Amino acid sequence: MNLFTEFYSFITNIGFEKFFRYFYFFVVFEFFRFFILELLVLFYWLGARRARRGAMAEAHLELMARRPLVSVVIPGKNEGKHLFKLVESLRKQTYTNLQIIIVDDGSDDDTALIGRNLERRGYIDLFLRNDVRGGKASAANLALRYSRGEFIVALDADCNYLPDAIEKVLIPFYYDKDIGGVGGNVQVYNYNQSVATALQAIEYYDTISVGRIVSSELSLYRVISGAFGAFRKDAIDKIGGWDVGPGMDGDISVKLKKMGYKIKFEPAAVCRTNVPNTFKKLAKQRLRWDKSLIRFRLRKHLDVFFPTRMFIWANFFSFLENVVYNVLLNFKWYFYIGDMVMNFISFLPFIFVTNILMYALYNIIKYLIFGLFRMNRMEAIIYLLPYAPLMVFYSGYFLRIVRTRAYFNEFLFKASYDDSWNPAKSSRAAKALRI
Amino acid sequence: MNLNSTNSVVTVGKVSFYKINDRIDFFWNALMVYDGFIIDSSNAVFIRTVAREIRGHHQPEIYLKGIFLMGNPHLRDKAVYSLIDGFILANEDLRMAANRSQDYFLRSLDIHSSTPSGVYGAVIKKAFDLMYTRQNKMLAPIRDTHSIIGYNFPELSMSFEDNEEPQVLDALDWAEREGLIWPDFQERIYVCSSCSGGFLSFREVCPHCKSSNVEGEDLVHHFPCAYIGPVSDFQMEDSSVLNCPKCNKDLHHIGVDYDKPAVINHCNNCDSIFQDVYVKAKCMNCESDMDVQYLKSRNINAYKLTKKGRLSITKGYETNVTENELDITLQPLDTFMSLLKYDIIREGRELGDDALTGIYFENLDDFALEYGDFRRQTLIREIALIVQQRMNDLDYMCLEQSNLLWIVVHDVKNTERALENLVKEIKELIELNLSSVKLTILFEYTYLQTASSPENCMLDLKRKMLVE
Repeated sequence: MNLFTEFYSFITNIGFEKFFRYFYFFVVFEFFRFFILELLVLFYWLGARRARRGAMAEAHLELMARRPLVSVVIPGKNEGKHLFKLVESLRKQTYTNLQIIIVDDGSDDDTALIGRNLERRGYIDLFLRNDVRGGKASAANLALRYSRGEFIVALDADCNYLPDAIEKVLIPFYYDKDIGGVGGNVQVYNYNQSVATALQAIEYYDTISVGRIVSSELSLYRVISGAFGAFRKDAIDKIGGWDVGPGMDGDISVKLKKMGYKIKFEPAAVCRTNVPNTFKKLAKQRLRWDKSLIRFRLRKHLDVFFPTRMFIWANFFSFLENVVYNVLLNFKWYFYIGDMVMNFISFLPFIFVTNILMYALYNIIKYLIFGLFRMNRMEAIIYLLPYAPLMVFYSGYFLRIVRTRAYFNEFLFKASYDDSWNPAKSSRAAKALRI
Repeated sequence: MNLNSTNSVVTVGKVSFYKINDRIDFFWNALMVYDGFIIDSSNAVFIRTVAREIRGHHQPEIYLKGIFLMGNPHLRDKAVYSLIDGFILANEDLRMAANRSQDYFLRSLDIHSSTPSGVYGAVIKKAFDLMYTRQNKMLAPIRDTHSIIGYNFPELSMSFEDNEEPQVLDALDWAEREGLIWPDFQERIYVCSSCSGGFLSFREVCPHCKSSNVEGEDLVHHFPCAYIGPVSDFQMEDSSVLNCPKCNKDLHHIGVDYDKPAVINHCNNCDSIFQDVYVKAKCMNCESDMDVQYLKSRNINAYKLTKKGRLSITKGYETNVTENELDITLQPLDTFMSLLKYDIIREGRELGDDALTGIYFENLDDFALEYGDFRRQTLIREIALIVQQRMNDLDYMCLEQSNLLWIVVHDVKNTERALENLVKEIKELIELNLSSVKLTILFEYTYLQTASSPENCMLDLKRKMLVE
């Protein structure tokens, strides 16, 4: 009882100055950046979208009048079990002038059998198989080599797509001729499978469905998701297709931006993906993603920060924001924890609890308010609401710890080159060339 | 040895041979009186023709006689050696010929005169007679380029033309089913499903346009930059070293810089890209071009007489089944029309729901072109089987011109629904087994009425199906 009284006293007597001192990390780096700023941009986006409506309608008309051939490329290994469902969702697309290419990257299951069957039945246009695994990038490049479309839509095999997804993702190309790539809106399909998938669903809503509207509006958008991205064929040819992964989706987006192309996010083009259903699998996935951030942002494309011939301010800020928020602030959080321990050890339990409560409240409010800007899946939004308070543990602790481990491994050991996601021969060759 | 010789007759003791050469005309029936034949010619074609004519003759008094070849001309056609009984290189060999001819005659006296029933009965008997008189234990195949299937059973094949060789296999299958012979597997061959020809040209063709103008290339994967494409992308005009078109680096060591993970094919005819070529077989006899999975497989066996077979030669044949025995009852068209006529009359006396139904397979000819006649027959059989399984004892059906199935069904309450279900099942059968086939099935029915004749009923339905 005493503890509650003390906590109440701590909260009521804290004052603005002390509050800011204890919780500056939340106020400055979370609340201001990810709530206030994003909310402002979202309101701006609403207005801008209204202003663009006429031009977008014209772009839509132009797309449907021209009906360019679109090559849908689906690289993957051991994805046979997903193919029929994926192809079914492609056959239901409102945009029908498609060349569907599936590339089997040395699968050791029934993928080849299933793919050949789909090809023979005319459900897909081309099934290609590398008997020897070469990695996802080479599989995607093989599809690219034999694609005939004016646009390339790259998909993941374990996803499915809303019927108008491809049509919607193509419209921006006719709105702005400088756009080289458009990213689709990736939502979680198996959100109700486990706590891990529910939390990822909220994360995807936050960082992709809403977060990318903001970054795209500010020209800071930097990753066309590998699960659903559309590219101009001439642009992707110009940059030589995909490079050795992992993190090839972020890499190709940066390559496009460095060549001067714009990349945009299209929230109305919705793809649904299956996410890891356990925290262990999730940690493995995120280790890979986070390592690639260091490898590509801070090594391969470090030249974005320097005034070279290819220097573009938007790229500079996009990278800066990415590095500051994902890398520096990640370490800054540990500094914040140290600061609290060193200076306010007696209040530490109260600071900790208050932080948790504030984050939980913040997550609920943000989830509800930002929900107004999301597209589709109202039933999922309601289902996920009880999980929103848990996001403080998920993104505040779990993801942060995984991220920290990934950064150390990559900084110190270049661990991304040892990732079994890519075949050793490709990683070895890429490492030798420092790419 | 008492040896007499005129221009065309050679006598050795009591045994007389008729000497055949390519300068004399003769009538086989007039030659029955001789004990054997000596072919005196070095013309391989003539020798083959005469030997086949003797062995192919329908009279045992001719086909069982010994055939001896004067000299030892070089014969490319190995099958001829199986038709003759020996060579006469010197006068001493005539004694051997005489002894053998007498022996053949004596053994032929044991042979029962009965012939197995069925189309192949006569030729099987002839082969068995030859085996018995020559004391051959085996009906063995030999490779023969004259034969349409590439194999020849000398004792049987001379009863058929070269292009009828598949019927030899049918005859042997029949004899095997009858329990007269038992097989010893030698080889499995694949023959044209249309004409049963065995001379097939296998080609890798484009799966889209079926052209054989296809070129394959290795795919090359450059590890450092993940570029992958056909080897021609990496080839340079002025250098033998492969160079990556993406990163402009030379490829030196396979397995270190690059590998070749697959092969890709390009069709020069329709410009399509594919990895899996289709293998098609073109029949050099009838020019049918079919997918290899639709070729007919036939076993080439050597055959030995069973106990039943051996006894049948001397005691007579008892055969159980005919070669056309079917598990499906398809009435001949005229029988069908007669039955239909009585049903129409009966319908005038009784109240019933009897109906005449026509099921027309519109594009069955296209199907036959693609998959061969054999597959078409198999398909029709299976469809007829489905229909039969749903028929009552009183119902009957017939097939007109291979693609129109007539059925008379009795006391069916809802004919249309029953027919729809039937057609659905047929379509499912086809989709299940032949995914690439889109068979168009039309059907109509009419209840039997006394006012109509069978011809008019059928004509009306045909018009409804085919015109309307």
